[in-house]
Amino acid sequence: MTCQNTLPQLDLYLDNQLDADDATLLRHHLEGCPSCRQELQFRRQFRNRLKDAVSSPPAPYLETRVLARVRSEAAVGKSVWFGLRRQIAGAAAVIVISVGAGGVAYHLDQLRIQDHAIQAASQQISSLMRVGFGDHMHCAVFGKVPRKLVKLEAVDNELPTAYKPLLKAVGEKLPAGYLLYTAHTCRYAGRTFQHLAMKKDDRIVSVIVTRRQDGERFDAKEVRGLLAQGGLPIYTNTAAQYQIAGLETADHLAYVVSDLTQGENSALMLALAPAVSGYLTSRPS
Amino acid sequence: MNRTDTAQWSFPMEKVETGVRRGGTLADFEAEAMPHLNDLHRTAQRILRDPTRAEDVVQEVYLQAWKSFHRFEPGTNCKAWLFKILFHSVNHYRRKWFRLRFLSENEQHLEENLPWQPSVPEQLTDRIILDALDSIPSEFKGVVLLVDVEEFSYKEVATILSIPIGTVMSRLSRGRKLLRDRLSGVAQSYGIRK
Repeated sequence: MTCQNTLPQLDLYLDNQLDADDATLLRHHLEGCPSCRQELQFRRQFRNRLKDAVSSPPAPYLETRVLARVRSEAAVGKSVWFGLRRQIAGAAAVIVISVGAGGVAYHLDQLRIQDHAIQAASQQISSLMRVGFGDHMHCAVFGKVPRKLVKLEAVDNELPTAYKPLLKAVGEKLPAGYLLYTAHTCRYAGRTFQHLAMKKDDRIVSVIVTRRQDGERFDAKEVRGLLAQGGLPIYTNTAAQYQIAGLETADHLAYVVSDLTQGENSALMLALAPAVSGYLTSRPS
Repeated sequence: MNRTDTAQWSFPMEKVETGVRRGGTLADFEAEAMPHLNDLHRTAQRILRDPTRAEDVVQEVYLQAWKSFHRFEPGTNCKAWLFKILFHSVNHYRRKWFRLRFLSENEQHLEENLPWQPSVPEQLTDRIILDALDSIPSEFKGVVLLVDVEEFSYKEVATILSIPIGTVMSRLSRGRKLLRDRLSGVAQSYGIRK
C-alpha cells in the first residue's frame, strides 16, 4: 500500500468506516511510514481542535427559557383565564392582547408558567433578594429577545437622560466583551426598575436598580454570603443556578443578577459597586 | 453532561393538565430531549452565525419536537431525531431568505491525488478555526459539524439531512479538505508556516 493509496483512507479510518481488512492494511503501512503516521496524528488533532473551537459551555438562561416555553405549550390552558384574573389585577406585566381568545389565553399561560418558575426558584431566598431576581428572570431571561446586541459605548446617545450616568458608571467598570442586551425601565410585581442587561459568552448579566421602600433592608442573616467593598456591604445569594448580589443605599436597592458562577458574579458586583452606589447616592432623591 | 433529569435548571412542575403524547409524558420528553440542548445550540450557532437567531431556532426545535413527540419511539436515537428537526427548521428558514449555493455533486474530484498537505499548527486560535469553518459552503459545513463535532455516523447524517450516504461522504471529504486548505493558507499568511 502506497502513501497515495493511504491518504484518502485516513479519514475513513478515523471515522471507523474501513472494513477490518482495509484497516489492517492501513495499519501495516502506517507502521513503516512516519509521514503518513504524522498525517494521521495531525488529522486526529485537527478534529479535536475543531471540536474545542465549536464547543461552548451551556447557556443556562436558554435552558430555563426553553423549558418554560415547552411547558406552557404543553399546558392545557382552558382554565387559565379565570385563574389569572387575580394575578392580572396586581401584576404590571405587559400582556399582548391578540385577536381571539386563543391568543390571549396562550400568552397568559406563558406568564403563569414563568411566574411559577420564578416563585419556585426563589423559595429559599429572602423577599428582598427576590425583588432583583424576579426582575432579571421576568425581563432578561423570559423577556423578548432583542435582535441586535450592541457595544455599551455605542448606545450612549440613544438612551434617555436618566440612564446615562448609570450606564456610564457600569460601562466604565465592566470587563471587556460585554454587549448590551437591553436597557430600559420595567415594571414588575408592583415596582419600577432601571434595568441594564448585558450578554457575554452565552451568559446574561443584569444590573438592576429600584427605589428602596420604607423598612426594606438586607439582612445579613438571611443571605448566603456577605462581602464588603470599601466599607459597603454586599449581600449574595443563589436561586436555582442564578447568582444574586445586592447592595442598598439610602434610597435605592441595586442588584447584579446572572447565570455566571458565584465567584464571577460576586467579582462583578465588587467591581461595579462603588460606581453604582456612587451614582445612586449622588442622585437627587 | 449526564443528567437523568433537568434538575440543574428546572423548577418543580406545577399541577397543570398536560397533554400526554404517545411518546410519553412531558417529564419523559424533558428527560430525553433536554440533555441535547447544548449540542443543538452550538450547532445552530455555527450554521446560522447569528446568536439571537440560533436561540430562536433552538426554541422552535424543542417546540416542534414536543408537538411530534408522539412520533418518536422512546429509547431510539433522540439526538439524531432532534438534529433532524434542527436541520429541517434551518433549511426552512434559509429557503425563505437565501438562495442555496448550487454545487454539482457529480464533479469528480481527485483530492486523493493531490500532494501532501502541511499540518495545521497549534497556534491557531478558536476564532481562526471558526472563521475558516464559516467560509466553507454551508452544505459541507453542516456535514463536517455533524460528523467531526457531533460524532454522528454517516448513516445518521444521511437520515438527519435526508440525503444519500454517498452525498454525505463526498460533502464530508470536500468540506474537510477545504477546511484544511483554508487553515493552511491562514497559517502561511501569519508567517507560521514556510
